[in-house]
Amino acid sequence: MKVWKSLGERRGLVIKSRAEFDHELPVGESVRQISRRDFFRFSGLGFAAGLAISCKSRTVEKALPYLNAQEGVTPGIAQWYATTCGGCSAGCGVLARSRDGRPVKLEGNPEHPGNRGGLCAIGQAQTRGLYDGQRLKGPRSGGKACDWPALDAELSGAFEEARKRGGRVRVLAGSLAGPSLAAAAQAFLGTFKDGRLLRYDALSCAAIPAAYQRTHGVRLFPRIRLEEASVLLGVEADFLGTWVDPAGFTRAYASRRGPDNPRPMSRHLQAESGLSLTGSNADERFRLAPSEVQAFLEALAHPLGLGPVPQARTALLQAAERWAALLKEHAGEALVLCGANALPAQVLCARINHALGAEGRCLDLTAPSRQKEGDDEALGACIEDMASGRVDAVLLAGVNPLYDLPPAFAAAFHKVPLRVGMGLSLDESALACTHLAPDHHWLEGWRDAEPAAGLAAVGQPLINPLFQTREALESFLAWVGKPQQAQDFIQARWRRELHPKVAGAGSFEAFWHETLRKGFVAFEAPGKAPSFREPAPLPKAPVPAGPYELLLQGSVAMGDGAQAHNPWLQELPDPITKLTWGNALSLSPKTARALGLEQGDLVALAPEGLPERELPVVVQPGQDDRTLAVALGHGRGAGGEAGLGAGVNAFAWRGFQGGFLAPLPGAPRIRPLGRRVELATTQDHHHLEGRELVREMALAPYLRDPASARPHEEVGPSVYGEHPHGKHRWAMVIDLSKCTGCSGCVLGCMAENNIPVVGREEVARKREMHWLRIDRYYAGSEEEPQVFHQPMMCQQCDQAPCENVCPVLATVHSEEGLNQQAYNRCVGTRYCANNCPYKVRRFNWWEYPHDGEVERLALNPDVTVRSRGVMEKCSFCVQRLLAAKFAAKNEGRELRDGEALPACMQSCPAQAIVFGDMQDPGSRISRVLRDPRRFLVLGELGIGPAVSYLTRIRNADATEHRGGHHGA
Amino acid sequence: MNVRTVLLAGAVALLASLTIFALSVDLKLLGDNSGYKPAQPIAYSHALHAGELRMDCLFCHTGAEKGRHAGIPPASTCMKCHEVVVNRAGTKPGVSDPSPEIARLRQAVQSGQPIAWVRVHRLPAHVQFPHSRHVNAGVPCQACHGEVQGMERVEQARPLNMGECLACHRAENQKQQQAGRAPGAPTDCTACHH
Repeated sequence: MKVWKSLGERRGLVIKSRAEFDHELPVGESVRQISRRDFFRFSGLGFAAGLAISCKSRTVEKALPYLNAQEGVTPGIAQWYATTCGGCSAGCGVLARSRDGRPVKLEGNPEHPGNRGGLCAIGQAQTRGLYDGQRLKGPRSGGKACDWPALDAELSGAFEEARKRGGRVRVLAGSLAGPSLAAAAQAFLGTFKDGRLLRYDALSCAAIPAAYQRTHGVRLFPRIRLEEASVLLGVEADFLGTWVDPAGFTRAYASRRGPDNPRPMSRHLQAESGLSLTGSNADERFRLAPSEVQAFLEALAHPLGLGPVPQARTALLQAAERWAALLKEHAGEALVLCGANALPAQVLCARINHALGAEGRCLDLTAPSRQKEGDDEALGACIEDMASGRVDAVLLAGVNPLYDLPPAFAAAFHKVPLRVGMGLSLDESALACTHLAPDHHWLEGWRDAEPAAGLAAVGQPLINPLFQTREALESFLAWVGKPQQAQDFIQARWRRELHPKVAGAGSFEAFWHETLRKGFVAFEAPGKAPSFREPAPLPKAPVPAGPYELLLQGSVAMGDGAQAHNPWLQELPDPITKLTWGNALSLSPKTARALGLEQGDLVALAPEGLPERELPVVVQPGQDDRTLAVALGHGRGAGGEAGLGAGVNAFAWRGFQGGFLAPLPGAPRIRPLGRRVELATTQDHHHLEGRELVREMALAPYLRDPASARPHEEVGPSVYGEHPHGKHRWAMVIDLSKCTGCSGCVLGCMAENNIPVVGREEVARKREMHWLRIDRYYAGSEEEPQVFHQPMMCQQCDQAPCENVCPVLATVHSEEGLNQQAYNRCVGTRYCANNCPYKVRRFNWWEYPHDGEVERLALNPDVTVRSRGVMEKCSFCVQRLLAAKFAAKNEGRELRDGEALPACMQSCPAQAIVFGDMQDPGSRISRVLRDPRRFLVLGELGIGPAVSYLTRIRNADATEHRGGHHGA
Repeated sequence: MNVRTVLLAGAVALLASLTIFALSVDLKLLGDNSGYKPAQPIAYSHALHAGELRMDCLFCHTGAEKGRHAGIPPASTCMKCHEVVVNRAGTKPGVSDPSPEIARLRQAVQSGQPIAWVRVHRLPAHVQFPHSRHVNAGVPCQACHGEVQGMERVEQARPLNMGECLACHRAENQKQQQAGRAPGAPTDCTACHH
């Protein structure tokens, strides 16, 4: 199996995207302007001054204890609180670690029935979003800062005026706004003659509830139970990356992936136009154009007796027929998910699922999901009302419609006389508002959520508000003249509405305390499954003319773009393109060749009738040839420095198609500009030449003979003797069958280990600092590649090549098998990085910014902040291992298996990582280390890495269906 | 040579001579702060509390057996004794101690301004020292902090450098090994540097 990492490599040329080695030292322009002589003058002076000062100076440091002892607070000891993630509307349960009064790390709550311990990249990055000095620091009126009483007084007059004009008031909110916030908003809206709460989602799924309205007579979004699906077909649905509930779906999905689960491995089929994270994990994948989704679903429905064979190309019909047979064979445990926000497709998808018997088992209609409550049709009507001047006031509760809705919204918005923004930052919409009443960050305030019927969650504050902000809920209550603390309001609502529903909850106080401890409460939601009825036929959408079609994909790092101000997320490489700091136009290799374009070429792209925008080209294997794919969530115009200028806002290329938010249907124009740009990708370096770094096997032969999975190559001999090991010896195993490449671990590592952000230019220079990266490999053809995701961090080699070459013994072996890096001893020769075969060592080329007054609060006090000129790398989260050992020793007992766990393992939504003490024969890691699927990366070097991987198992016969795949 | 170079060279020479002068006054190694004895905002006497009155260190430094920091007690801890239980001047419980130092303490509590003690013992930022492991392993506080119970004003008694840490850890491990037990004091880099 030939594995390749980029197209350049596949074609035998690794394109040096930049004249990186033109200069002996590839340093920045500012440094190069200084002459050599001046450099020596300044450094000599600096050295002497430093020496003189450091000799005798004594920094006087003050220590300020509490005036009054805080109950349960001991300085230096972390406290954990259960709360609910506000990063997106999925409502994952998190445990927040608070150190000395400030949250520094978020981890998935293992008890939470949704995410069950995992947390995605966006969730992990939330602490950095909290400590953002560019958030709104207080209320504003007419662009000028004011105080809350002044704002309230002014607004109550303005609301009074709106009442007189006709009282047509709209509150726009996302699905993130919890039921209590909605109740407060409704209380506020109730004081107007025509007050309405409208919800919309930037990454809209509104066609799904609308489809169920037609097929089942109820507007609902079924709760999807992927763990029940034995055959799973995704049609343009990136459920592992960006769709509805990525962390929860990944957990459920991974529970059926690989051969070692209690239940047999699922079969994952994916039909899609771009290569999504989900598609990259599929056992089988079929490429289609976005406009073929309807035809594909119709072809799938035909064998189920749901309509005629559609007009389509043969390859599509064949694939659909074959997969339909597979789904039928597993009726009752087969599921089709469609991600297209189009009513005809979703109605058909609902009918197919009904015919497959998915309802009840794979799709829960009695306790539906509440994660996507947006209603595009109502939103469209509201925009029309606004445009014709029939709205007197609009309040934006945590949404940014001027960024993520079609441009028509902005024009209509300005026709509304009173515009109140209640977001966190001075974003595109806030700039267009007349008044700003900034909300708390979710880690600063009280909130609640209801991810599904029968699952209510609460969010509690971890820190006093950093700025003069006020909870949106409290603002609504203040404006109706009933000011109340958010906590009291939420508690009262829970006492009234939820406590009676929970059987055996005891007194409300006990119930509330238990809820706060756990972060959520699950209860029986009495509901009856609505019955299916055949819907009336829908008019077909016109098939677009022209050679190309626009696909707007969600982005794993950016989500709906609300997090674009967060530099941690900007620097997270996209799991597929490995692009950071912005988006690009993805083209299939064939299309790129036809247009004469290569990776990094600039093009001007515009859907029909819209102005052109410049985008760099990414050549994307596995993409459909007619598809022009652009990631959403980039190109912010305001709301935080990090997001500015990073990419192009593709939300502007959407419109309402049949009432639902979708890409504009007109044929997009594409015009090469003849210029190139250097992409800040993490691809094409860390180059490991032609070795078997990832392994794959089909399920059937593995089940016949698991031992056949054992790698053939010998583990190389070592010229050195064994290291003596102490009480523990740590090891890690990563199951490539489970890892989806979601990158939650990358961000978890970043938050835990104070990893700096280096910025676009430095990433382009291949100087990103992530201790844990995910290598993405392709195998097979350019058209139908198989994709591998392989988390790669320091392998903690027993005979580490880095250790041998360090001239100052800054990197040495520990008796627990760790390859230690002592920052204070490192002199920065970078010899170790040069000698590392995995290229996982990171060098601090600069003093990276860590000292923003607010931003520094996100630092983990248990980990040293590294300075310029030293090497760093994954430590297996040694501070967490020590904390666990200390806890055990202080309690006078032995360390238990599973107590010491690195941040990456803790946050992995797929539970792909196993870590533990291999000297403990009963530990989970000792069992996994004996798995025949286990292999070492570069094992032949004989350096004894402590990290190993489990061969990926693909639930597809390697030879059986290859022929049918070459469509397009 | 232009004027700028001459000025630069002069400045370097001046600083170098200052350095040599400074080193000639005190020959302690860089970073050795032993003997540091700053004045504190309140002239709190460890000699009185820990020495004469034989109060246990952990009575006030409650974090020492739980976590990383031993901690400086909050003013409320001081006031528990000084306002409620007893005081030196012999006034009845609940009646204020007339001492000016106690007045400062009381003023801090009343004004809501925490007392800004001057930190005496300070390890470099790249060292992580867990008090709890040492206290729970039976290391007396005096091993590192000196005879604090005799100090009117706290002074850093020892250099607290890495050599001292390692000497103690190695001696401890040797002792354990001689007694036939597994050595428990780590000497790995990452035990303190991470």
